[in-house]
Amino acid sequence: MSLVSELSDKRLKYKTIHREGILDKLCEVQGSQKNIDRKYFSQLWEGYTWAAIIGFINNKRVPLGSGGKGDAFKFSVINNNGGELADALILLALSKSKKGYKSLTDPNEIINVIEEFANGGFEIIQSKIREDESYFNNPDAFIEELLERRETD
Amino acid sequence: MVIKSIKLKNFQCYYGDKHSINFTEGLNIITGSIASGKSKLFDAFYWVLNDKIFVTGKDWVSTKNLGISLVNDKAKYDSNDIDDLIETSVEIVVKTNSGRNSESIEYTIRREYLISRRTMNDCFDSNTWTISTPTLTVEHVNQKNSNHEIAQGQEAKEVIENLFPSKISPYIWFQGEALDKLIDFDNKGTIRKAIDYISYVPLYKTMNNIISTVDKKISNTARKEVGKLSGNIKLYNDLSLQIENKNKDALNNQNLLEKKLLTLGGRTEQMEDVESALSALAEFPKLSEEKIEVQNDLININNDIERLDIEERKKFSSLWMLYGTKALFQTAADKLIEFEDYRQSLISKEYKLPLDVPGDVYLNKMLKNELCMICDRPAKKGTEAYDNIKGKLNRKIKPEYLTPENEQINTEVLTFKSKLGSLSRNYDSIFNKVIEHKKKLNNLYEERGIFNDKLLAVNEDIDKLYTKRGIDVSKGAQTHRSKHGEYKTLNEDIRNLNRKIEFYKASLREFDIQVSKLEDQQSKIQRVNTEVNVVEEEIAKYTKYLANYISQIEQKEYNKLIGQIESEANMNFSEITSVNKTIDGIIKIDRETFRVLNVDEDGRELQNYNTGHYTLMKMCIINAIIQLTNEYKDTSYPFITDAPTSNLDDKATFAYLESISGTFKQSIVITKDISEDEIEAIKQKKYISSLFLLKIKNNTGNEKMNRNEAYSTITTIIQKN
Repeated sequence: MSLVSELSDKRLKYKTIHREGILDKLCEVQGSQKNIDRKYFSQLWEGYTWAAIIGFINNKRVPLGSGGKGDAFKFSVINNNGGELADALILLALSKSKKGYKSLTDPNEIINVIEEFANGGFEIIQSKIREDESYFNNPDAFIEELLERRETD
Repeated sequence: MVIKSIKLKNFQCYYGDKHSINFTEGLNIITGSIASGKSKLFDAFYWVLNDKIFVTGKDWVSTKNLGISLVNDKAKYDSNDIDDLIETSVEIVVKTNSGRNSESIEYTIRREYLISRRTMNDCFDSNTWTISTPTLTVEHVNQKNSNHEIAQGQEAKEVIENLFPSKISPYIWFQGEALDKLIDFDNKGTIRKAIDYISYVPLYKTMNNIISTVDKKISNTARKEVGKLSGNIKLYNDLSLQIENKNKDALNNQNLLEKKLLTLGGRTEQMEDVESALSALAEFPKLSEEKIEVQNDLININNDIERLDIEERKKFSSLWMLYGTKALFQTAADKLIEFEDYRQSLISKEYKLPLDVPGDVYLNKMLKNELCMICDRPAKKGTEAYDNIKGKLNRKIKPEYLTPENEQINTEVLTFKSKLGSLSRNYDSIFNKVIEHKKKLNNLYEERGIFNDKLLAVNEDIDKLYTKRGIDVSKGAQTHRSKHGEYKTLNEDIRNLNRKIEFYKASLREFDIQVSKLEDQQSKIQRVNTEVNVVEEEIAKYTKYLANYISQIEQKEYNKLIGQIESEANMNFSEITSVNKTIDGIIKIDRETFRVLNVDEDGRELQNYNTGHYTLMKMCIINAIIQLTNEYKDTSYPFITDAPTSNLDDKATFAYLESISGTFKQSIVITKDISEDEIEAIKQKKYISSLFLLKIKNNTGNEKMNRNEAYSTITTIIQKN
């Protein structure tokens, strides 16, 4: 069985505080597209993937620990909706995994790495929100954050 | 005299009591974008002194006709209880010049009025509030006894009249929109009135009137005395009687003429109001159409923004969010390559030492023939060699690179190598696409800003039709009918008055001719005794000469002043034309029609000037009038003006500002928006003493300004002394 199909049934876990503090604020649970004041992300997985990427870029890996691992969703959600983003997450996990290429046969390791970097990403986002509660209320903030990332070859 | 400060409380768009400006001598500039409170600030100055404000199309409107519209909207909206009181006030402090026998005095002039809530109905409806009468106080410290003195009501008004004489105030308190009304150069009276105030011309006029009356009386007496010496007393006296009667009739007609001229003035003013109302009615459909157009444009822009927004979110969640991960992808690629290198090394190792050769087929053949087919030596059953060959059977050793784990990794590596290739290709386009998207979005935001301003302006224009011109456009046809009726009646009146005026003028000319003829006949009657001198006749000759002489001086003085106004105005004008090459020529006041002309050096009228140039010429003439007043009366008034420069370009605006800074001890100019760059430029200009910035804001964070929440703020940007 390929890595992607093995990953499909695995669940990506995240802390309940990040669900309440970040995902619920930035992601439309119902996926409504009609309202101009809608949230920036139309689904939870988008916010989660965005957080994970921020964690990877800033090299912030934070184990989830034992407490408060409230929620989870299947990796297949990203794979079915985000296409290339799912592949990108696997490649990013590969780049950071201490197991190197062997992680490509270890779906648990891939899931674990993604979870820990997503957790790190959430902490970065949370600290921005702590500084300025309305930081991400402005839809332009997402593109601004993007352009602030340092591009290194 | 200088204005030291102004304080505003709940006055129009100024909410609360935290708004004040401290002015300096020299040029004070107040700037702000559209609807930031510029005109309202000018209103505050005018209101505190005159109890009225300038309203477009309606001229000056008093507080009692303005109702609650002077009170800040947010203050009204904040009120939430019956009997709530709102105080609206403006206070200015003026300092008079010190003279030879007087020290300068500071006067604090304050006008305020209260409204209290009667009902909890719509807070913007006049009927919801009880309005108190405005109170006016003027305070100062008496120099002699150091007593604090407060003047109120009529007494306060007299102090203000003393400080700012009403004859000159239209020229110093100057509202841009009132320019045409104030300096109507098609009206002969305009320049005449200004000159009367500046100069001694009215004195000559009074003297002339006195002398003319004396002359008539002396001439009558002289005629009687001369008549006694006449050869034909009866005829002479008869002619004298006729002359006296003609003079009486002429005086009567002169009085009637003056009355008619006065009535004509009143009717003409009424006519202007009606014409303004009619033009407002004509304006409404155009404005309404313009509003719909701007609203449609805004809808289109908002749709474009919405479309781009949806597109952005889609792209962000499918690819763009990966921006910045290039180095990590490279690390992943390195790890894939690391595996491939490892696998390759295993494959190379297998080639050196093939462990599964010879295979079982050959080994079985060797055992059957009891012969080693490699070294060609016998391997008899039971010997060590035979057992050795047999031991090599069933050696199914797979190469290391073909282990199931390596095979699986290899499959994944190949899959992800191809995925990485496709990702990298898409990744490279992210940056340019994001920048392009941002640019498009910013352009649309900017465009939306422009159209929002347009909408604000057109709404303001429509609002003016409703509230300021006093026209209820919703009852268009009905209002139009009644205004048109007024127009027709007034038009008829004015035509009749003009006809009568022409008749009286003609009759006066006719009387003059008739009197001359009668006097001529009288002079032909021989006197009985030519030796006798009639004293009254001698005196009459002198009074006639004197009347004629004074009239000439009056005319001369008048012409001299027009010349002075012209030359002062041209000095200011040439300073401005030297920096703005699109304006040229010189200002000329036509002595017959009093029209202001832009002419070349040979006196030929230039045809290429526009409204901006004409405004500039008028402003130069106003400056000249004030300047001459200051010189003639040895005094100085502050010059305050609102938006006189809106149709001038930047260079001409600055040249104009520099020119007035040199003219007045203190000037306060409320002008159009000045950009950040221009503010830097202004800081360098020596002739500007202070700069204040007006902004409209609200505390809600909403971009859209709602009348319930928005209010103006004042910030001091520059204050040099």
